[in-house]
Amino acid sequence: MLGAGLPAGPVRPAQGASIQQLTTVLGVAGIYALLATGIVLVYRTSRVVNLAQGHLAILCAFFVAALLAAGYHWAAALPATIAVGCVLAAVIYFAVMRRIVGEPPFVGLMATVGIAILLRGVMVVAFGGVTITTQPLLSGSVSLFGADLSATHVLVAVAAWLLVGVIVAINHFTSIGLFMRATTDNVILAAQRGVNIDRIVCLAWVIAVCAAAAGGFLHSQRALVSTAAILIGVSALIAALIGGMDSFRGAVIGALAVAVSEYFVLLHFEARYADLAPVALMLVILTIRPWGLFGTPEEVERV
Amino acid sequence: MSQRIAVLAGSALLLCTSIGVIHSQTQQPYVIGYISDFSGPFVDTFSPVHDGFRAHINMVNLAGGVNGRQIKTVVRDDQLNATRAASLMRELVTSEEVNSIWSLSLSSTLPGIYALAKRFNVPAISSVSAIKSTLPPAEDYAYSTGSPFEVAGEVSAKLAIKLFPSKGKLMCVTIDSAGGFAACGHTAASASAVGFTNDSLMFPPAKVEYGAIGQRIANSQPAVVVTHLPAGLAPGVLLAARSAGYRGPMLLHNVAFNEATLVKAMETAGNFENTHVFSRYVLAHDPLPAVAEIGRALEKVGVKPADFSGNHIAGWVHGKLAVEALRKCGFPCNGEKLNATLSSLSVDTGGLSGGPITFKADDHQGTSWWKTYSFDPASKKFKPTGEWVEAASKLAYTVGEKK
Repeated sequence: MLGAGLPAGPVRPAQGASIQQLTTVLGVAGIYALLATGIVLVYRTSRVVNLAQGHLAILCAFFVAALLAAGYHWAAALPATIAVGCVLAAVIYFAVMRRIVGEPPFVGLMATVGIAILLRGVMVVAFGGVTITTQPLLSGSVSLFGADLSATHVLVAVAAWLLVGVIVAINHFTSIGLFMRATTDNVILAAQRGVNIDRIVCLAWVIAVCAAAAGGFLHSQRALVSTAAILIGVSALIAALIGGMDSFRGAVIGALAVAVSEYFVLLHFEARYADLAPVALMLVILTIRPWGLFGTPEEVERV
Repeated sequence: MSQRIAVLAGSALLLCTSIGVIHSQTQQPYVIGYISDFSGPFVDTFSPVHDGFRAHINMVNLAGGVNGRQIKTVVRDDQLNATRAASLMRELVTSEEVNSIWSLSLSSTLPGIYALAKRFNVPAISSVSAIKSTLPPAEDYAYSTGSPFEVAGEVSAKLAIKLFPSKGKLMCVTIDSAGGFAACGHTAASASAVGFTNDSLMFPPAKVEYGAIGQRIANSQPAVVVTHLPAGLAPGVLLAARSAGYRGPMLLHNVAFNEATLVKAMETAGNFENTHVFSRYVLAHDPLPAVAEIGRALEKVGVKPADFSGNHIAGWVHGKLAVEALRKCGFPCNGEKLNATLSSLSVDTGGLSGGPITFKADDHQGTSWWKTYSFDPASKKFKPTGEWVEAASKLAYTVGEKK
């Protein structure tokens, strides 16, 4: 008999399953929310629906993984990735987005489709399009409310929501945020009052890409990175659409709704329909409120 | 004096070889087509398969080719798009006048390609994916050296019961596709026959976040998990299941994933126990001398030793079949003649599988052999566990198909 000495069956049953499930949902929702706030930020300042957010996230995840694999410490690899993200955002803005200001909404949308295709090509050419893993920042487990949780999963959940909080705080409590809000409310009036629109919109792209980079990195901490992982951008977009394209609060609620619906169907119903659940939810909400749960009605435009 | 004779003999031999190579290079080459996914979602599966294939062809060409002729491979990228794959096949047959199409990508592209193969009288041979068209009664012009999910499903339970004789619940995990449905259907039928109870989990192929999948596996607490997942999905599910607290045995069908990715997933999960792989061909970790030889041939075409995986070996075997088919076909060798050759071809894999690849008139898949590897935490390598297990291409169970 082959391998008769091998241990069989579950050695350690899942402990504190509900706490573990909560951590997973919060981690996934946090990553979606991080990406969705980036989408909202860009939409608020430039009225462009960024379909490349998932691509930006995974490109940055590939980049940070390459640096870690090359032997760099994460304390160097992470800031380097953020710096590359900032440069990438500035290039996207000045090379593409700035040139299409004032054009109909679909022009911006198509521009981001083009950027997405380009970024996917870069992933395949530069990183071979392979499936990779990154070394987790934390190893082992932590005990929380009697549950034995993966330290990495706890870190991802906490870091993601902390970063979402930072982005929302920048928008609400800093002068840059004030200028951003002024640009959102009335771009012409903001320009007349001395707000440098160019700089503000560029900054919005930089923050959005940094959010994507952080989201991509956090995703790589709890899952594998591959070109297929760009689909987290789709989940983030659904979250933004559910919540309302110009609402941070909506992005957060939307991200939670997407993550919970996916998780609930996967765990308790037919797993095959897990991807349909958030889309169905989005369709129902957009049928009732086309501008999303917390979006501004007059912002809706047919593309 | 004897030294001078040796030098002269050596020079003469070199001259003859060079003349032979030059002669073979000036002859009209065999032109074969190769379609696969080189920039789509499964590039990390099919790119190494192609490296293995071209390493073998390169070795044969350097040694003078087949029947004194070089093999020219015209390569195209289908990006895992069935429509694009069909267009590329049409182009290769009509413009490049290839006599065969090799590799192909995932099962979704195969029905269209096989239909065209029959129409153009040009055989198409898949390397990784395989569909029922190649199983008895096989469709004309459709061949495969890959792993049919139906066959893999039936053999997986036989391998599982050898590893875990205590039985209990077997959970089959796969993607929501025709192949996945077949794999878990045949796994369940075969598992029931050997005394397991069944559970299954099918999830959308586009899923990139496996947290809930891992949790569901942990909640189900099966005695053993069998996965039929392509490329990066198996390591992803392994990572999620371990992170969710499942510590039981996982038996992963090697559907062209990279062993290194699997090892890294285990490292990330912080768990190296109870992970097993079953494969139609040997893994790159296998101590077989033939595997080391493939490693050296791969280096000659620029593949780093660290990147060497079972996918390269599958590609190498695929290339070996191509070479033997052309050798027996002779020259000229058009699609019809090659199809006739393939339909009665038997190729020795040199120990890379448990037996030869043998095609018959009504069986274009042939008997396959499967081996289990268990991960050894000490050496951080997969080690062979037991002997090859034979699996007939004629299915033992009838399972409903996914509509």
